[in-house]
Amino acid sequence: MASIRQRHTFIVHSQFRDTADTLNLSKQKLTLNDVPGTRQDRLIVTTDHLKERGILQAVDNIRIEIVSRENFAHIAPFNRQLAWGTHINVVPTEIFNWNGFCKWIQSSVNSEITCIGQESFIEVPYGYYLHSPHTDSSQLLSYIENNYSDAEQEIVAEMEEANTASYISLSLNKNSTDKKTAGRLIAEAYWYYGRWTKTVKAGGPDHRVEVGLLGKIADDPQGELTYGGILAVIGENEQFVPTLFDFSPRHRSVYQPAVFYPDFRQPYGLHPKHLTTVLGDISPPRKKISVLDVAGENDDIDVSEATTSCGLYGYYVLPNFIFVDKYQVSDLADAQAGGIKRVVGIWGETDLEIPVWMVEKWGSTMLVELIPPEQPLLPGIMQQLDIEIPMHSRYEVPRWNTTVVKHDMPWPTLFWACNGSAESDMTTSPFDSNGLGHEYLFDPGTMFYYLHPNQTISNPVNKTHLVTNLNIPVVPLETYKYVQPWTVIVILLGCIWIFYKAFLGFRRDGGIRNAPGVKPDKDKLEKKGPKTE
Amino acid sequence: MKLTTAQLLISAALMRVAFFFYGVYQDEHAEIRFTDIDYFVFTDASKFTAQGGTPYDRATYRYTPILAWLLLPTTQYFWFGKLLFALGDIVAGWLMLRIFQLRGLSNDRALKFASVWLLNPMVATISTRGSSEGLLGAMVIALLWAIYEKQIVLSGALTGYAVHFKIYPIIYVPSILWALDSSPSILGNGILRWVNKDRVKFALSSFITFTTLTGAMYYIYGHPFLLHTYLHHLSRSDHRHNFSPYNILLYISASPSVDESPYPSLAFVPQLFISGIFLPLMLAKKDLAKTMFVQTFAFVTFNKVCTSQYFMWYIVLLPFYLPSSAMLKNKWLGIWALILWTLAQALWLQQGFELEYLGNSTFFPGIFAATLIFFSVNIWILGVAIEDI
Repeated sequence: MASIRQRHTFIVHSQFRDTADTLNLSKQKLTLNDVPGTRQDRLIVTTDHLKERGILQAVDNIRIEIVSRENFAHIAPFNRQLAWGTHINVVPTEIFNWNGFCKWIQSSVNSEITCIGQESFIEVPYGYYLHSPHTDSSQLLSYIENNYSDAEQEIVAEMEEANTASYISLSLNKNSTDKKTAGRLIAEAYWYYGRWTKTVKAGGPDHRVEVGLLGKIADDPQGELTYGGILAVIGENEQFVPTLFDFSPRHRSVYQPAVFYPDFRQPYGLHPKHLTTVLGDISPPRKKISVLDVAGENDDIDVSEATTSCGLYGYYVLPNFIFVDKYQVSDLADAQAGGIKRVVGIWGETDLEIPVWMVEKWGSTMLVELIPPEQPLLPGIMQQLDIEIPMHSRYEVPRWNTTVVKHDMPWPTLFWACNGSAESDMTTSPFDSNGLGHEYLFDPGTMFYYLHPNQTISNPVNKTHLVTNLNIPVVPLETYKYVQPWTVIVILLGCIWIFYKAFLGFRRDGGIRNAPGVKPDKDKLEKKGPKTE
Repeated sequence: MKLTTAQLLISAALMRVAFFFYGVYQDEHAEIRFTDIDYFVFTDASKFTAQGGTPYDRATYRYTPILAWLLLPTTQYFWFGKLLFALGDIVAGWLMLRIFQLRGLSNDRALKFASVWLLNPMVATISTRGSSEGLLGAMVIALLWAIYEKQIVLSGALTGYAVHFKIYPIIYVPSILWALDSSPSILGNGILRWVNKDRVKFALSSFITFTTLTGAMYYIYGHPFLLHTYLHHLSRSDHRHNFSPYNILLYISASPSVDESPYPSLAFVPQLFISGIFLPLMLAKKDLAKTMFVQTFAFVTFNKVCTSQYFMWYIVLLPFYLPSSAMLKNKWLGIWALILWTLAQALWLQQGFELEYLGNSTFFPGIFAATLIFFSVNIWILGVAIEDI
């Protein structure tokens, strides 16, 4: 197996035609000219090709992803959905230098990421996770570029192009069961659409370069996908080779129209209620096959094989200016209210009282199982599901000239998670690196069907992607020059008043003690004579 | 209208029963719960304790484990805690009447003034919502009652227990020590004449009770106990808006926008000096019960954090201040005091609502001004009360 494997995949429209104008393949290179389509690039490299191995030796599993905030779509088969920003997932080895790891992140991924040590990460069932709102990938791409001892021109050029990608990932899994990628560094970039004009050159002896132009041939919603098209290994093939292959994808979008839109209930104060409205056909993507359906065709069908079960889930990424009260959300789940069936987990900073400047972690994540609508779908009638999660904002840092701090929150990811049915053998999709992420919160073999985020409402004018705004009221810093002296003055005046009044009483009674002969703890009226009431 | 003791106590109990059932109804049917969030914190803590864990497994549990133990029956009967707190109210009222008797107040007037506590809807609401202030009120009245009954050792024990529970009753220790004039000295003449039998009994019994309880809890629960029950209150970094005049100052000065400031520590000075040294020295020998009232009032008014539950701490002692108070002799003084005290709170509540539910930054001038106004009204009333004693 070549120690460098480079693959460019273009998902093209079925009407695309391979002509001499659009594609030109020779022994040394392939030229594409204005080829429209979705593109994914993958670079799989053995670690001895890297100049700097340090951090990568110290982890068992790592995945760094950067998701763009610009509008983009998830085109099949790249249906996995993820919040925008930078995601760093890591499974460290026993003794791990967290400070060094943070420094590496700031120098290799993005210098603006807040990372101090282990306390910046949150512990999740599969390892540690850090999310940051930064989406600039240029620093990470430079890192990958600069790290190749071969300094191959082609790879450098590819990396620069990836600046425009909608999604970038860098991962390494030492213990992967996939022999083709275990212990190898996988760099991946995804563009949801482009008109591609580029030249792909052949690689060196140990460097395999593949280009594929593919389209979906067949799609079994409960089974496998079939893709086909043309493939070429540059330097080996002088002509394109037709290809057809099946695979069982881990991630899909739901086939039926089910769209969601989240926002905060207006008006909101310090306890915003996060409401996600789901509309459409909210029925599970896989239905139980009852024995009656298949009896008569094949009496040998085993009922347990024929049933699959799906749950509807919401996965929330909450930066530390906002949080959920785990007791409050559990109570909702107990009452099956707010659309919540159960709380699978809340990970990260969940303190209910501290202000934002005292939080060390970047935030928290929450996975809840939702209650799908019961009523059967009638033709022409949409189902609706309202998911309401009460949240709370943390006190913000006072700053100059403003009474409000504006924040951006990622949309939650909504999906059906279905356990694998016995027919599909769960071969990993060639397009999915199966790295660390929310999938690891489920059993291996779980298949995901993502609901569609309603992007038309999202922000069509500004072209940003799946963002919810949150405004947190704050005290402006210029008030401090009044707050300080006035508080002190009022307190001091209060003290003076107290001393003065005590002095008046003291002077009236001639001392601290009562007059001798009178018990000190009787009611004063008693000793003064007739009652006045 | 002649009211008997039994009638008063029964009315107070019935009132609480009515509020309790109303609370059950509101919990079930309305958006906003009647039961206080604190009650869920207590009952969760009891639940964790019953399951073999610690009360500190419940986030925001900032009390002694004894409270969680007392509420263990809530794992079976959820409302037991509310019953206990409401009972605390009644016991406090009953002991209050006993103290009035020992002070020589006529029964009629005693019942009238005790109803300021017993028939007070604010007090009844707080207990039936599940806040533990009623229990605390019973402890404070009990320790005072023990002094009047000349049960010095018992009073010391109750004081030690109260301080273990809530820390602030420690301000009563200097008052009681100062007021215990009438027993023979142990250490002869001169300045040491001050050390008499009663004072030694009180000091020892309160000290031993406190250290035994605290030591036992530390032995069982270790550092989390110290951290959550005591240290948290000293270094409180919870700067959410509240009635305290220091509120906005501490919010800004605790943030990284401002250099480290001495305000959090300085704020202790007027509070502890006035409530713990000045007022006891000036007034405790004249009238212990009234002194405890103004001490508590001062403590709460100058505190770095103030929520409406804290008012219970001094309202339980208010009936002792009222009988000869200038606020009753001069009706308008009393009426204006009540109106202004209520209005100042309403002003703050309005600004607080704007912030919490509408998201408007009312911190300045809104909440800031409201806290200073409320502080000024309280200080004015406090001054009048001090001169009165």
